[in-house]
Parts: sequence; structure tokens; C-alpha cells
Amino acid sequence: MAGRNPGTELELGWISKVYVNRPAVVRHAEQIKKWKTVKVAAGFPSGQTPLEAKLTEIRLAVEYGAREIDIVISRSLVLTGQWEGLYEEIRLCRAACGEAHMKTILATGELGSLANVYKASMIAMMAGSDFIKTSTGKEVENATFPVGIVMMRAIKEYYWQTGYKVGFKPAGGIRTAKEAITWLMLVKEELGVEWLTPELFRLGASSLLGDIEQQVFYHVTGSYALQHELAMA
Amino acid sequence: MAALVALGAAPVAKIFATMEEGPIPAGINPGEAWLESHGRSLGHFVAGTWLKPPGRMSLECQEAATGRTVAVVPAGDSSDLAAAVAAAAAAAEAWAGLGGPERGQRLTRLATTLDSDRRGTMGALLALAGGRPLCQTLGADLDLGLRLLQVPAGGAQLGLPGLEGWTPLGVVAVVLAGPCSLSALLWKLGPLLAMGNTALVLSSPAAAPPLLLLGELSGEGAVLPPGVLNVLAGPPGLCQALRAHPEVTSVTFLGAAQEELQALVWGSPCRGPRLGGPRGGRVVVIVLDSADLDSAAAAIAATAATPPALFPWGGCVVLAQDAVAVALEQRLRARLGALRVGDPLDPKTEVGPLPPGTPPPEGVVQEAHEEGAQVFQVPLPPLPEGGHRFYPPTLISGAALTSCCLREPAPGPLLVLLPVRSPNEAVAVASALPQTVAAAVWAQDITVALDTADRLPQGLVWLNALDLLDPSGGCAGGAMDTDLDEALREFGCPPWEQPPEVDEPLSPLVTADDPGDPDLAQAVAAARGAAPGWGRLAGACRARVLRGAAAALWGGHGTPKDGGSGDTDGSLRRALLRWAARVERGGGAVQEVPGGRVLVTRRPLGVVGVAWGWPRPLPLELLPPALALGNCVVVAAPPGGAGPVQRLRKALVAAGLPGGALMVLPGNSRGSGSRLARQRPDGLWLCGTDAVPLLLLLAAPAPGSCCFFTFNPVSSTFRAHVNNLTPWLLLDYPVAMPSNLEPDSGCSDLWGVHFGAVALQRMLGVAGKDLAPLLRTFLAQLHFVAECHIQDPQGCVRLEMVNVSQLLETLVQNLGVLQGRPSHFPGCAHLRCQPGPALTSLAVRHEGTLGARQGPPSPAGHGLVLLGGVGGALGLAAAAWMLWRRPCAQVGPLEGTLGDGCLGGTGGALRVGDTGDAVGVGCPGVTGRAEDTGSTGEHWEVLPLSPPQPSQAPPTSEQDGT
Repeated sequence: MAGRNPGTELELGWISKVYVNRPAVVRHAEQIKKWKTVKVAAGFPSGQTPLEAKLTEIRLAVEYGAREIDIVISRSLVLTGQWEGLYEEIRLCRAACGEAHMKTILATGELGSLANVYKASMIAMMAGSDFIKTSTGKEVENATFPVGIVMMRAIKEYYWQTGYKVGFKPAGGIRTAKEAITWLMLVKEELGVEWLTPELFRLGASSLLGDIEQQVFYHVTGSYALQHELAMA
Repeated sequence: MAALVALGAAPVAKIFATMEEGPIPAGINPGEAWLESHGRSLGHFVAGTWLKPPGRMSLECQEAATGRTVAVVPAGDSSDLAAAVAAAAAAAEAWAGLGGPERGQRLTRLATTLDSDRRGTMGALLALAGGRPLCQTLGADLDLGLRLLQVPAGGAQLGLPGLEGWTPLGVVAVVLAGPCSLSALLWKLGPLLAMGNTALVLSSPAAAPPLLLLGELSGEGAVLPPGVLNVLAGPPGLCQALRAHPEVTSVTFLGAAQEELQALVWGSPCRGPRLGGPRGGRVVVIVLDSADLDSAAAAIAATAATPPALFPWGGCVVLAQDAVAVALEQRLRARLGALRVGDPLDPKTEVGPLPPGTPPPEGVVQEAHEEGAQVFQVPLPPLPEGGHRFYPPTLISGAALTSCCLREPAPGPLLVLLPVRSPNEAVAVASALPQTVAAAVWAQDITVALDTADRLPQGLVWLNALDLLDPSGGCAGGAMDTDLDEALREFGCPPWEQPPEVDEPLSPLVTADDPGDPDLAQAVAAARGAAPGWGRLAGACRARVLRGAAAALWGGHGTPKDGGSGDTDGSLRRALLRWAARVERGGGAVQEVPGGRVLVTRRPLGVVGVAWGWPRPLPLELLPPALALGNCVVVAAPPGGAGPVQRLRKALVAAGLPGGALMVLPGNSRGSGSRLARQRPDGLWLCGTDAVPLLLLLAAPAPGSCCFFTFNPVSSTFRAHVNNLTPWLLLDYPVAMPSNLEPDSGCSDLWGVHFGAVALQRMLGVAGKDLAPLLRTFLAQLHFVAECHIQDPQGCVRLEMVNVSQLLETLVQNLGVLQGRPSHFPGCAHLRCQPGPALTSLAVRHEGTLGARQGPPSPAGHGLVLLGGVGGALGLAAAAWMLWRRPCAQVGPLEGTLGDGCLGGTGGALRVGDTGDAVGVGCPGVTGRAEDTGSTGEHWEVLPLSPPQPSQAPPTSEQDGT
């Protein structure tokens, strides 16, 4: 794990003038696509658990020796623009995590707009998340490329402002090796090669492994594997 | 595993360490394969087959990235040209006789072949020859090109109602005079062929391979009959030989640089050359404080890497509002740093080499650096051939407004970032930048974005986008029926009767030194003053004025003595009423392009000059459309002809027309066109044969260019010329020379030459017939200094009289020094003086400014191209907004001058002599439908002249009180 992100004071100025142009982001994602080229969480998956319960859960998990904790933010705080409340909530979780690394799941499919995704990412990083993650994988809309672009831009901005590199983890809906490679391309394009390490970039994809095995099989043997030739993913 | 080893892949651990993209196993390059299949020795493509004349010198086709010779073509000469013209002429009748549906079908088949089988080959050849990255040539560029071919083909197949009775011109030559993309060629070639003409494409050897492939495709399976499309590669002067072929009825120059135009001016006034195709220029991007900065930076960097296909390389100027300028600069630097520079044939390359024949913008960048601007340059990776044809992505920030990098478009991946205080200031700066063809506004605040976009003079404005397809392709190629008509009519003869030939002498040539005509200047200035107000009035208000005038004219009748142009039959009144009705219900049209929607709106040109040569009648019906669309008109009427125009003016003014909107002043029967042109109106209608001298006037170098010479401009023989002069001069003849120039400023020698040239120019005025030629020869050698446009803004230069011998001595000295130093003069455009007492007398100042006037005041070729201010498109899209005003001036002047039977082709800008009334001033689409078919048979030229001048009251930053 990379050095921990200590977080900063709540700087609403960083997000007060944030605009995200959805069509432009979507076009950008499409262009890059054209180029060709796993854990227990607190309050999982709905993020609607009361804060007290969340904190208790985290403390218990840390007590049992968990090295990494995933938390889900309360989407109502984002949708109603209560950035201070969101910051406080993540701050408390951070404190509860102690030395364990904290991943903040934004559940981006339910945040309403890309500008909200950007702002929530920024707040999560200010509050001391070591990783920001798109979704639990259980929402209707999972890790889409436009959302990824916006979150990565927020990470870059946070890096420019503070000098801390926060990790990024898209999760959910990534099923094929090709999509995984597109994600790698996106990270390289938006954040640079230095983010392409396991400390700063991960893919959450439960069904991806099978496809990667298939692809490797194909590239070695020239044909795809039959069902019984690979272990069940 | 064995397979991986066979691929030669790097060890997996190393791949994970660097995370480099691997090579794409592409196999053999299809472009190279095609060249190889021809033995790397191509020919001309004439009459459906390869023409390889024996014993001809070979010209090399070079790869843009490395300069490697990839193929050779025989140097075309006049005999090849004759063969090609003969083939085209022979095929013309059969091709025209096939009929629109059949022609359209064949062209569609050509597009299909190009799209399916040979796409890879064409893309690779374009990348090889033009240096644009493969991902562009294979994708967006080719898609646009195909669309430009398919749309006119579809139109021809349908048989457009607007084209009934139109006949093809015959043989049309297309000369690729400069770097020019395939889409630019197809933009003209599609309508040309669809209309039933046969084409003769003359190309430089560097650009030839893709065109020869196109020719070969047209011959394969006889998609096009032999002789319909002929491609000839040859040296640049080859097009001159076209003069000997009267069968060639029209010539279109694509991508011609303006100084070349002078050399290309057509010999016979009957077949005027036209400039076609997109001209180079810059894109100005305005980033306001509510913009999505990351998206803006990503789009700007991508545009800097590969500009849109129809805007050849001209760099990009970014105006960022103060609040976001720093943040934007940081993002731009990061984006530029991540661009992949490399071999254009590599699919992952984003920045290719400079296009062939383009000098690197080294001088501009160096000058900006010397002036104190910050220059950020991305180091180039290792590149083929040492990368000397590449230029690194560059960002200049903090440059002064007067800096060369802002005054001149510089080719290459070059960004200039300039902070502005407010949207108003951004509009003012964007209006004042020369040679900007398109603009983009980035702002999430829709009110501000739309308002800003609306006030920009550029013809094409994107909102929150930069990569949407340029709709001029869509329009000129015709997503809308009216536009398709326009594009096709450019290459057709109208069905109505052509006027008889009138034997008129050519106008006297007006030179740049001619003193201006004060009356005309005042009239044009008055019109300019009235233009913004009149143009911004709602259509309904303008319609009311026209109706009022029509009512007032009810009783009055002109007499035939007034030149036959009085309103004897009520046609003027009808025209007023018709145009009042049109302008009242006129509005924009929404159009879909791939990626978004576009709103096309009309804007007035501005000030339109009307030059009326006497023996011809002036149909007054042509004036209402010009006025109705918001233009101001200055009519130079010959003696005795002004009566009816004055009557019309009186009626209009009484109905509420602003006084300056229609100016009538007496002119001579000849030459008023040239004199009007000197006043730089935004458009010019000619009724007479003034076109050729006008073209010469227009071809004068533009003001504002930079003082940078690729080669040392000083001739090696200047001493001999001075020696020739000496015996002829009275050695104590007094001439004015400056006495207080700043001495060791590095520019002083240049300034010395400048003043020397001014003095000699004045001597030329009084020189006798023996001395004059000698002076002229010498002056021609000093002409380079005019390109620096030396000015004295502070008016500090003091002149004193010295002997001419002293002048010559100083000149020799100055030239000697200049010869020995690098031919790059940054910051020399403004004279600097030694500190001392200010000017003593007015007379002296007058002397000083004379020099400054030396630079020709003409708007020159820029105007030919970009004159923005017309029509507009505002794209409201789920995806993006785009505002597009049709760049009317892309169409050249001088189509069909007098005597050309086929005048009246629309030429895109304004239709000429179409029907009594079908001249729309503003934009092609505005032109009226032929409601009454009575042709006036009048010859009208429309020369859009100058880009909107900065002085033309763009909103200034004072307005917002910041």
C-alpha cells in the first residue's frame, strides 16, 4: 500500500466552481474506447445504514484484523448538497479505521450528475480516503467510462492541490478483458503511468477473471477454451 | 508460450514496469503495398488508364515524416496536360449525357469502393503523404471525404428541382496549389462531377499518391467512364499551361497561398480563376469561468495535435478568463505532455510531422520567448530521421497582444494562451485576431455561452466542443437542399440567356500607392457606422422599412433616360415587397450533423460596395435583398445614372432606413470597383470588367505579417544595382531620412532600408523614363522590407533632408549588415527612437507617416478566404452546441468575369445574376428562389473582401465596466 492520504481540512472552494460537461466527457470516453486497445465492506451495499452502525461495524472489522475497509457514502448527503455533513461522516469513518486503509465507495450511479460525482470524490479525498471506488457493483449503473474520467480528473486535481496520490477503483460491470484494457488506457490518459500500479489502481470485477483466462488461453493455443478446460471463476 | 516468444514480446515483468503500449501487429502497410504493386513508379492517370510518357524526368513523392522517397511520378509537362485536357473534353459530352441519376449512381459506387475495399490503402497513403496521423486519416478525414462525395451524388440521383435546366460547364481543372487534404479536394470534386463536368486535377508530386489512387479506383471496373477524372502530377508551374486550352472552362485553385495567387492570375479575363476550398486559419477557443476545464483542456490539446480536416494547420489561440487561466494552463501542460508524437503511420500516434512544405514555427516561438512570454515545450521522443520534420507540442503563455504568435497563424501543434478579463474582452480579442476561421466557447452557463457565441465574428462557433464535424462540409455538401443546390450550381451554367458581350476597356490598375478617394472613404465609413445598428435590427423592423419604401415608390416612375433602371414596370417595388416578406419570416434552421445539432443562422456581410460601370444598366432590384438582410450598401454610380438610386434611397430613408445604410455617390464609368476595393468593404459587386485589376490589388501582401524570412531576403547583387543607379542621380538631390532612430537595436539596419525604400519610391514618382526602370529593379529588391510592416506608432521619428548620395551609401551599408545576419527580425515592426525632444513640426510627422503607408493597405488574400461575418449556425444539441456562420468568402472571386458564358454560377457566396432578385447578401442559402424567371442578364461579381476589421466596433472591454 502506498503512503496513506492524511486528508485535508474541508476546502469547499475546491469544489464550489466545479463544472462537468457531460457530452464532452462522454465523447472523450468514446474516443478512448475507440482506440482499442475484492473484500467485505461496511454498510455494503446500499449505504443507507445509520452512521453509528457503520462505525461500529468498521471498528469490529479493524479489531478482527482487516487491513482494508470499504465504506459507502450516504447518497442523500450528496443529493442535498450537504458537503460538510459528508465530510464529517467520512472523517469519522476514517478515524474508526485507524491504521487500516479506507476505500470510499461513491455509488456513482445514484449521485445524479457528473458534477456531483466530482464533488463527492473531492470531499472523500479531503476526508482522508486512500482509494475512491465507483460503486459496490450492485447498483443499476456501475462503473461507466464517463464517471471514471470525472473521478480520475478529481484525483488529479487533488494531487495538484495537495501532492497526495489517491487510488482509483472502478467496480461493477467490467466483464471482459477488452473493457479492462480500456480502463487501463483511460487511467494512462487521464492520470499518467504512475497510477498504473496495484497501489493506486484496481479493478473490481468478479467475472473478469474468467474472460482473462479465456483470452490468455486463446493467445497461447489459438482457440478459446471449452467450459471444462478452465476452473470455474 | 511459444506463440508469445514468436511475437517477440517483452518479458511480462517489464511490460508491467513500464506499462507501454505494445506494437500493433499490423502486417504490411496497405499504402506501401499499393505503391509496391506499381513498382513505386506511378504515372499520370489520364483517360481511365496510366499515362507514363517515356523519357520524362521523375519527380519524387516523399514521405512526410522522414523525407524518404516512397515513389516517383513523371514530371508532367504541357504535352501531358494537352493529353489530359483532350481526354476530359472527349468524355465531357458522354458524361453529361448520362443524366443525373446515372451519374449519381456511379459516384456512389466510387464512394462505396473507397469506403469498403480500399479504405486502409487510402488512409495509409494520406498519412504517408500528408503526415496526418493514421487514426485521423482512416477515421474522421475519410468519413468526411466520403460524405462530401456521397451527398452531391445523392442530390444528382434525385434530380434537385433547383437545378432544372442547368447544364454542366464542361472541363473543369482543379489545381492543388498548396497542402490540401482529400476532404478539401472532394468538397469541390463531388459537386463538380455530380453536375456533369469532367475533371482535371493537377497536383504536386508530394500530394499525388492518394489522388492517383482515387483516379485508379474510378477506373477500376469503369466506375467512372474513362476521361471523367484525370489526375496529373507535375511541377507547380504546370497550371500556367492551362491557358493554352480554351476547352477548360473553369479553374479552381485549392489551398493556394495568396502570394502565389498573383503568379496564378489567369491570363484571360473570360475565365477567371476561383479560389476554392478551405483556407488555412486558426481556431480561437474562449474558456469562460463556468467552463468544464478538464474537458476543455482535453479538447484543446486534441485540436492542437490534429486540427480539423477542413482547417489546415494554423495553430490555436486560447482565451481564458482570468479566474480559470492558471488552472487551465496547468491542465493544458499536462495534456500536451501526454500527447504521443510519432510516425503518422502508427495507429496510436496523435501528433504527426508538420505537413510537407510547412516551415516550423521556430521564428514565431523564438520571438515570443524574446518578448518575455513563457514557452512550454514538450521534449520530442526519439523519432525517425532525427525528427527534423516534427515540431513539439508547444504552449506559449503571457504573450503580448502585439506578439507575432498572435498576429500570424503559425502551423504546427502550437497553442497560445491569453488571459482575458471578461466575455466582452474575449469577444473583442477574438474579433481582432487576424485569420481566425472558427471559434469555440466553453462555458456551462448557457446564457453567457450563447450570448458570447452570438457576438463572435467567426463563421463557425462551437459550444463546449471542438471535435464536432465541421458542418460546412455538411452544408456545402448539402444536408439542406438549398445548399446542395448552391454547391452544384457552382459548376453549372444557368438556363437563362446570357447577356451580350460588351466591349469595354479594362480599368486602369489602381496601385497600392494611389491616394485613396476621400469621398468614397467617407461613404464607406458612414456605412460602417450604420452597419451594426441596421444589421442588428429585427427582421420585422427591416421589413417595415422596405414596405414603407415600396408604398412611397408607388407613384414615382423612373424614366428610361436614367439608364433604363428606373422602376418602370414596378419590378423594384415588387422586389422590395418580396424581400420584406422573406426577411420577416426568415430565421435559422436546425440541422443535424454527426455528434450534435447545428443551428444555421444568417448574418449580414456588413458593408457591400456596388461598382457600376456605365454602359451597363444597374438593376435596382438587386439592392433590396442586400438591404433586407441587414447589409449597408455603398453605390458608386456613374454620372447620369444616380437618379433612380437616389430616388430609391430617398424613399427608404423616409421610411426609416438609417442614413448611412445606403450611400450613393458619383463615380466614373471605369475603375470605381478598384477604388471601392481599396476602401475594404466586406463585399463588392462589380458590374463591369474590373475584376482583374482587383485581383491584383487583393493579391498584395497582407498587413500584419511577421518579419521573418525563411531565406535571407537581401539579394547578393544589390551593390551592382546601386552602382547602376549612381550615374543617373543628381548627387545633391535632397531626400528625407530619419535622424533619430535607436542605433544598436538590431533593427536599425532594417529600418534604414525601410526609409531608403520609401525615399526611392518617391523618387520614382519624378524619375524620367531612363531612371525609372533602374529604380524599379532596385526597389523590387528592397520590397522584402514591406513585409515587415514597419510602423511608427509613437510618431517619434524625425526626418531630415540628406543628399541622395548619402542615402545610397547608407543603404549599401545597411544591406551589407542585413546580408550577414539571420533573417529574422523580432520586434522590429515598431520604430523606436533615441530619446530626445519630441516632434517639432507637423510637416515632419507627415513625412514620417508616409513611410508607414508604404505597406499596401489592401486586405489582401485573407479577406478572400475568411471573411466571416455571415450566416450563423447555432447548434443546440444533447451533445453540444455549435454556432456556424457560413464562411462566404471561401468562394473565390472572379468566377466568370465578363464574357464568360457561364457566369451566374452561384459561386457559393452570392448568387450572381440569377434572376432579377435572387441575390441574397449574407449567405448562399439566402439567395432567393427564382420566383420570377425573367433574367436581367446582368453580370455581377461578388468579391467578399476583407475580414471584419477590428475597428469595426467590436464590443470593447470598456462596455462591461470592468
